[in-house]
Amino acid sequence: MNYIITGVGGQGTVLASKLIADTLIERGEKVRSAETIGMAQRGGSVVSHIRTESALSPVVPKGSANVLIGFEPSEAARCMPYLKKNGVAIISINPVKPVTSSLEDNYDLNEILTFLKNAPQKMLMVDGIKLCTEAGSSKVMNVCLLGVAAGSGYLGITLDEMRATLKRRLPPKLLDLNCRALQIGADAPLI
Amino acid sequence: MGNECIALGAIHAGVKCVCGYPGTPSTEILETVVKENPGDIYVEWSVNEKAAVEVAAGASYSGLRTLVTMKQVGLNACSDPVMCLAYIGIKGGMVIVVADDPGPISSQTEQDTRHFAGFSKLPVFDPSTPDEAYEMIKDAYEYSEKYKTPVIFRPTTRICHGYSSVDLKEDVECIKAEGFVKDPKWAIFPKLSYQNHVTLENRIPQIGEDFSSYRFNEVNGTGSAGIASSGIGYAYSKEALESLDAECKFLKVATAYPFPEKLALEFLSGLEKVLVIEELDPVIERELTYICGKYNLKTKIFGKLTGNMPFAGEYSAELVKSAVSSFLNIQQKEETIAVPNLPIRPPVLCAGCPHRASFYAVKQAAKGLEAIFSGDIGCYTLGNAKPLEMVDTCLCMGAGITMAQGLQRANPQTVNFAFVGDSTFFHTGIPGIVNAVYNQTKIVVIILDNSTTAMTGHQPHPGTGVMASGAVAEKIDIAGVLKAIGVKKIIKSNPLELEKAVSSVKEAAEFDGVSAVIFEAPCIAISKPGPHLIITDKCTVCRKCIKELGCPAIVYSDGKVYIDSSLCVGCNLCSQICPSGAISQQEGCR
Repeated sequence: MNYIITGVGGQGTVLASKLIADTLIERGEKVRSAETIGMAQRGGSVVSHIRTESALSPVVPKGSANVLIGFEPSEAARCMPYLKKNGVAIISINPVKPVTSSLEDNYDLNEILTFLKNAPQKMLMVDGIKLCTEAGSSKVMNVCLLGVAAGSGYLGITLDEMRATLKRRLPPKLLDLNCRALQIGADAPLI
Repeated sequence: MGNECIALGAIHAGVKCVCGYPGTPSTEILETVVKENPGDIYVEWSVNEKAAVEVAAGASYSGLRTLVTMKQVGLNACSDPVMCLAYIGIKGGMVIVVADDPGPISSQTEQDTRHFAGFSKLPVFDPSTPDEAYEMIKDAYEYSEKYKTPVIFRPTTRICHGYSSVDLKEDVECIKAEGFVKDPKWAIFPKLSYQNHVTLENRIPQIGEDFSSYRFNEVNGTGSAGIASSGIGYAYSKEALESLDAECKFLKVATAYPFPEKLALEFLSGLEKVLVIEELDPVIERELTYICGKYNLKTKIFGKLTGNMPFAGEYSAELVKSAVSSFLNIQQKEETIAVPNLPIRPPVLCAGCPHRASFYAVKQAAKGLEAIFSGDIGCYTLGNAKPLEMVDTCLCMGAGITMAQGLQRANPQTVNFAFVGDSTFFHTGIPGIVNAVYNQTKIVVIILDNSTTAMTGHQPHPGTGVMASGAVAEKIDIAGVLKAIGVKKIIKSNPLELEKAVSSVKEAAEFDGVSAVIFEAPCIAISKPGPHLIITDKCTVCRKCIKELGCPAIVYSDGKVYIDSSLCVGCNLCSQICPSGAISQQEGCR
């Protein structure tokens, strides 16, 4: 399996990719992964690659990701060339505008959403902010999206497996919130 | 993570002294040693790479296994001790990890450390995966001790920051150190250098021969065409062959210097053509071309020198696949997806970053002056971005202070400001200030003291009062250092108090001689955020805050300006420039 997790620095994409990798390793799979992060500490494009089986390089080649999880529509669109023809994308539709778009408006959300909706692959789109509000924290978009992906059956990881990983990896005081976020994701209405 | 593999490999090989200076993509190696220290390893963040190499050399002379970590440009800062150590040699194994950054993703150059290895006559190891790096470190120590020479270990970003499953050995090698034994061989003199140079040159082909049977150098596959590769290029090439369902002969080079000539000859035998896939410089390509000439082989070598592969930039799986397919004459269906216009996300200073306030204060104070702003290496290089545009020059660590002096000599009518961060000040900034005072230049040094080495992930430095291990250290006072050097005008200021900050800069700029403003405010990533600000209904949407500050927390959308409460840390800079007093803490109305 090849996974691409993408979003904007600060959205929690790296933790999401670590949770996926951790689950796969726990199951006994050999995993390679990598992150591409620019110079920006926050607010930059972030792409995490996760690969299993006989992969030698940690980077997913274009056109070979089975699953793409996009935390932000423009970043998801940027990574669409990675997605396999029969791949599945799980995308939150809420934009994060870069600081440059306050100086000059260069973010056309409608165009990007239309592009994503018209893609030939299976697209599972959700309102990530709404899911976070339901869970009661703006910081759990990552686990909500993992819930959407695991619940859909396309992630290759079950909700039970992901719950077990949350238990292993998260501090106890954050566990309830994240388990709730996972379930909210799994039950989320698609847009 | 590859960097963790390198650290754990060194720990399990019995390393006892670890020194380094932070630099992407190498930083996590030393951080992992701190975290995983079984308790008997001495580990320090050195003030710069030169200090790191020299501290480690002393420990190595005494028989300890040592590790030095840095990024590729750090090797330039310590090339003096590295070049000399090649002649003197060591006793305890010494591995100098130099992380290269093809792209470059966060560096000034795309220099290739394998070349530096050849130049300094030090063997170099080049892992192609994180798990290989873990195993290879142990080998590096063994070769280092066998040939009594420091060795260079050169991972690239994809190895340093790649992750893989690794089987760890639990036992740690126990190396008994003899301690320092006095001997004339430890003091470099021209006569000794001549003698050692002879030995050194004799040793190089010997190590090359040894490397021909090194376990991570290998020849495999069959055919009349061959691919030679190293590092991450190896992984990309192997995967390209697999996805093209093609086969050819393959040479993997894990030690580009001294080159494993015997193994290369075995590879070249019977080959019509070879494609070399290596990031950065054509090191393997030149070696193979040389061997073909030396042995009068007819094999054609293709790569960068023949225009088949690019010199600059990082390689990708796609780039390698397309090069391999055209080399092997395999037709490939190109499918491109037309992605719509997407916003670019250039790196910017964080919301509430005190550097933004410092740059803004200097910009205000320098209004009406003919001013040149010399920048330096660190987060504050981002001061070059719109709308601040306060970095006119940036070259390398510590260069801002000294270049400002040359700019001043050549442009005496200008006022020259040099920005330097706190960690960079200690790294290579101080001698530049000594130079300015001694040679009676007029420059204004702006020290951006945010109490950490921010860009590489918040490592301590001599001004922070904390050591790498977390233990308390004596804080070295920047103002005290400046005073001791003889800087006659030193002003400490809080950049977030705009009015005072501007007048501090004005006062420093008027001083005839070397002056310094120390802007003290901690990095937002290591301090607690204050209550976030809001825009009240007094806002006239003039957007001065956006146009002049470029803070990512201030957003303009649907004809309104608002503050993103998840990003704002309440630095209050924007409220001090708002002409309508419309930005305030929460008690106002929205």
